[in-house]
Amino acid sequence: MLERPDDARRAPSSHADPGNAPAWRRNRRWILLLLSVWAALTFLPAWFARDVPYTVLGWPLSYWMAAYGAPLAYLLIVVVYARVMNRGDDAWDE
Amino acid sequence: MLFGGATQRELDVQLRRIYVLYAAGFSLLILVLTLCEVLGMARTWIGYVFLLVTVCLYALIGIICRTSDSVEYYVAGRRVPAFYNGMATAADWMSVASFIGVAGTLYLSGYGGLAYVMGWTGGYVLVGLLLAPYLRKFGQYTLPDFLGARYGGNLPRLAGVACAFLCSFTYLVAQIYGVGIITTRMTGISFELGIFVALGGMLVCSFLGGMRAVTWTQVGQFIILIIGYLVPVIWLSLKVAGGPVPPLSAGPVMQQVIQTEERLRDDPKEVAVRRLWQARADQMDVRLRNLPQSWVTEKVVLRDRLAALMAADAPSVEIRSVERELAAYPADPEQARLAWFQARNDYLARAQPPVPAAQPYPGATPAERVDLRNNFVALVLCLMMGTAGLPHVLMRSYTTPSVGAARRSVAWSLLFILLLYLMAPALAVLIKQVIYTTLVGSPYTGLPDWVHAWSAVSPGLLDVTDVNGDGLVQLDEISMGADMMVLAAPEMGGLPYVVSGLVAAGGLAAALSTADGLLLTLSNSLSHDMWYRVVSPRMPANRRVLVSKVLLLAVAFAAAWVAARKPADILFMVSAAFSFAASSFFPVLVMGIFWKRANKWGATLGMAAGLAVTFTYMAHTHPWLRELVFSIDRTQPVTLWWGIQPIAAGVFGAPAAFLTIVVFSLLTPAPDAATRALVDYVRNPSSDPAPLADNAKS
Repeated sequence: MLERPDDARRAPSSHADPGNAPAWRRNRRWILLLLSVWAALTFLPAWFARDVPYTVLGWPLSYWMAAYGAPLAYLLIVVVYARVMNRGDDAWDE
Repeated sequence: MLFGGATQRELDVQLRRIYVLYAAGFSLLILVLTLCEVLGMARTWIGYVFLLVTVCLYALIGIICRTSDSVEYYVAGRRVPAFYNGMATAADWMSVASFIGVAGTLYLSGYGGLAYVMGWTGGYVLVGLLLAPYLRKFGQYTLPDFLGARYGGNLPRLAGVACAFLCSFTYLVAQIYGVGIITTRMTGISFELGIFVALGGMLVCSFLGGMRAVTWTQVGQFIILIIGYLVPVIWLSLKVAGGPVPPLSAGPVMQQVIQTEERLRDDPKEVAVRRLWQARADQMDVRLRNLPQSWVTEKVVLRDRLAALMAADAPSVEIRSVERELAAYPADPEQARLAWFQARNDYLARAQPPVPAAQPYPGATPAERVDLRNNFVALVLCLMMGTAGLPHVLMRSYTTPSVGAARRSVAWSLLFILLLYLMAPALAVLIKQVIYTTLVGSPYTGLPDWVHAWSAVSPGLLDVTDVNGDGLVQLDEISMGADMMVLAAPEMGGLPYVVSGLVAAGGLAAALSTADGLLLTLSNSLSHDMWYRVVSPRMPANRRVLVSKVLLLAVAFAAAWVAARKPADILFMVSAAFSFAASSFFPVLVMGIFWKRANKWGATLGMAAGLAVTFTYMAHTHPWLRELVFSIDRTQPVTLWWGIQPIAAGVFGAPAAFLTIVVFSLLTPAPDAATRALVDYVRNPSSDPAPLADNAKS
């Protein structure tokens, strides 16, 4: 029988049940929110790409959205998440 | 000691000084070479200097950072500041395909190529939100480490090693292959020699200093690759669009390109050229239908033509061209069928009107458009999940000092990656404008030098043929390969040769940095996870590093050997790596962190199921792979699921993996208390004393 390395057993159990801790719930809510923004910005413009006639800075809007809009939004999402969570990390020790 | 201040702050100051000096030195080199070019230095020498100086720089960093300490060797001491880790991740991530491929793909496939831009940037949202902080908190050495600890036992760990190998090895071969192409083009040395120069550059870093040396070299490589990309784009933008910010100034150029394309699409000469290509394709169809008889008759026709030319005392150029054709004639009907089938597809492709620059899903019928849209969305999703599952990128989150730094590092990586990706669409449009205004409509007698130079390298990269014999270049007479555009862009725009050398140096940096990261992932998986964890767990730390280094050499030479044999479908192999990562690592890592109930059997079977579905789909739908696996001839048509191309096979594999994990985890006993505690520990970002990390150091 294969045995698991001991280090996994040595994980601390000081946080009784962080599965329900407010900080973890908050983390999950943020992830859910930001991932829905991510999904909406990725799939909606791509799905309806043929139906938008506008242009931005000379680029056709659907092209601009996929080439610039979505990638910049991804950057914003990652930055917001890092900011929010790094500021809230102290909440774990409360 | 360089790259190792006593405190984090000291290290920061020292790093800033090193890299500012480094960037300034490199800029000075560019200026000196520009001066030399003005004074009449030979072009090949400029290429040699760039190649030699950059490879020596990387080697120097590698030698300074040599180490045999295991924490330094595997995870660079876990104290790479977020900013620099972001740069290293960006270099690690941006391969030769990003550097030379993306702009070319956007040129050739218009809106469709944006799937790569979206997929390869959007994947970082998944990395940043779902994986990086937790992997950092777990804080061991490799991904299989996490699988082994989270799911318990050696089975998930070994499955992880297999997946890491599958994802990384083909990718590594493609990088070495890319280095071979670039060095050959840059200096004129042979392909095989180019590969071994590259191998030397890579090994000095990863062999001597492991992750530590690779990290600091990658930061240096990022600086060179971004300078090598930005300089030509900005220069072209100033020259063609009249503004220094390509994404802004290329917009109006895009409008001009769209108008030119509309005019050219209905131009009678273009239509005639397309009809001629169609006629050639039809001719091949006839030959294919009349096999094996046509194999005999065509050979007779060629011989007769040669005899007639000789009798008529035709110009020797014509005679030689027919002689060459006869020499290259397929040896038997079977080979003739393959060759003619290939030729027929090439001609058919050229008989199509060019893909519009910006129009999404340009299909002739509504059904075709829906098909293109579904494939676009599927590819985006597959590339995103693949990005979030590639071990060499995820491994980089282990090297940051804290969980918070891991999150910030992802943001920095994405910013640095966007520096390149936001330029690519602009570059594609600018190149298009240059081609439309300078090449299309010009006479064949006055073709620019770069056309001759690149078509001499390979007709697959550039082929300009006067099909209708009017002596002028039509748009449909030009066929370009995606891989030559970025490298040739400076020549197309009439920039000095130094810029060409700079671009090649940038491409080399992109390929080497990715190859280094992949090489480490591969050798660490084999040595740390297989040898040390499974075969001989009592091995002392310094022996482990030694074993790692030996395996690294073995993997590097194996990959170089495969690359030197020039495998047929290298692009497909790279995209397959993303599908494999999307359907193996991504599901089991996410479930391991977010679902406590996931257990050993679910994870192992999930990885197996994901890979099996992905591989089966590819093997049934990709002509080359199908021939390899089932020996079904590649001329047979394929049947697709919902019209999804094999390149996005991961969209079937990933759901299969998630589903299998859920079903089999629920069917088998729940994980024990220690595992649940481990998940809680990983989810808790506070930096209380971490027994896992301490254990790793001992």
